Amino acid sequence: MRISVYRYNPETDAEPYMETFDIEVSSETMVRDALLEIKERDPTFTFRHSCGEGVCGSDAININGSNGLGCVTKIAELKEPVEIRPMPGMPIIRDLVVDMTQFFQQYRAVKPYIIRKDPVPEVELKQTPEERDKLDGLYECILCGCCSGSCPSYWWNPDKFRGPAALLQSWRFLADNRDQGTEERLDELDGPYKLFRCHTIMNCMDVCPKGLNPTKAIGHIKQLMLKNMV
Amino acid sequence: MNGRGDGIRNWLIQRISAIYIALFTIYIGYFFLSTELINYQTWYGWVSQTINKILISLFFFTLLMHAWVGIRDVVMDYVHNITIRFILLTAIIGLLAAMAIWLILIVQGVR
Repeated sequence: MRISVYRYNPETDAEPYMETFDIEVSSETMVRDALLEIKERDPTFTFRHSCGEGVCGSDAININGSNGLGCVTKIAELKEPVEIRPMPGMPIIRDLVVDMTQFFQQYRAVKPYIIRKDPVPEVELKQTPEERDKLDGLYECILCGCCSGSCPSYWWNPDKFRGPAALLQSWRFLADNRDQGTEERLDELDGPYKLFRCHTIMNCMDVCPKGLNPTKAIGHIKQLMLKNMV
Repeated sequence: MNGRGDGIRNWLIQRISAIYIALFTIYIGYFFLSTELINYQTWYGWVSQTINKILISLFFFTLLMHAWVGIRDVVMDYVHNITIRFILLTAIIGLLAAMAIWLILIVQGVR
């Protein structure tokens, strides 16, 4: 199968180029396996990967124009020639490796942890099964960045717009009955940029390899803001 | 640009105005479909009714508000140079305000 990969080494290349490889594939070959095969042939080729089973979120790349994890994408099901590029909207360090500093800064900014005003009890904070159910579809995020990397609003304002991944996590803690930081979380997201650059384009839910829905989470945050306003 | 409630306010204006625009479109569509003979006289007669004057004015007011939120969003997404953005937004406000005044004059003129 013909695979075309994005190559760029800022130290030696004047500009990026696409390099083509022919790889033997089976119906079970994942994109990551093909990339490992390419690295075997050309050790200068670079990409991130770790667990190889869609849990760590390291190998988010752009496969035939759509973001996804290389390790859980079967290559035989893709249209030939397969084009592999780094995730769009993030600075390229080398080949398929992008700089995700800003992405994690946005993640940190939503305070992805439980905020307690009351004294923390000596035992764990208990939840009813119903309260716990509210976190399903939120806590599973592996922070691969596929969603934010496919969001035009994030491309245009990555420094100001939190992006779908961070906003999904913001809702994960707003929806958590143990969290007492609702007001400060909503205050922090106020203004035209941090939350409201989302124009419901829905690329995020389309590409999420874990099947999560940041668009819906963002809608919930807006509804909560509205409730607190009126 | 970080006024309290600015984001949710504009978001709300966009939604509410969209609902009114949709309802008014149905209303005016009903006039066209239910009126057998449509000519200048029937149209003028319809527009000169006080209730329709109010509804039409409200329609253009919400339309301009809706346009403002939408165009402002596009400018904020794509124009990153603050000076150019300021000039553009000021020009757009001016244009929309001029349209609003013009519309008031038109609706006023119908007796």
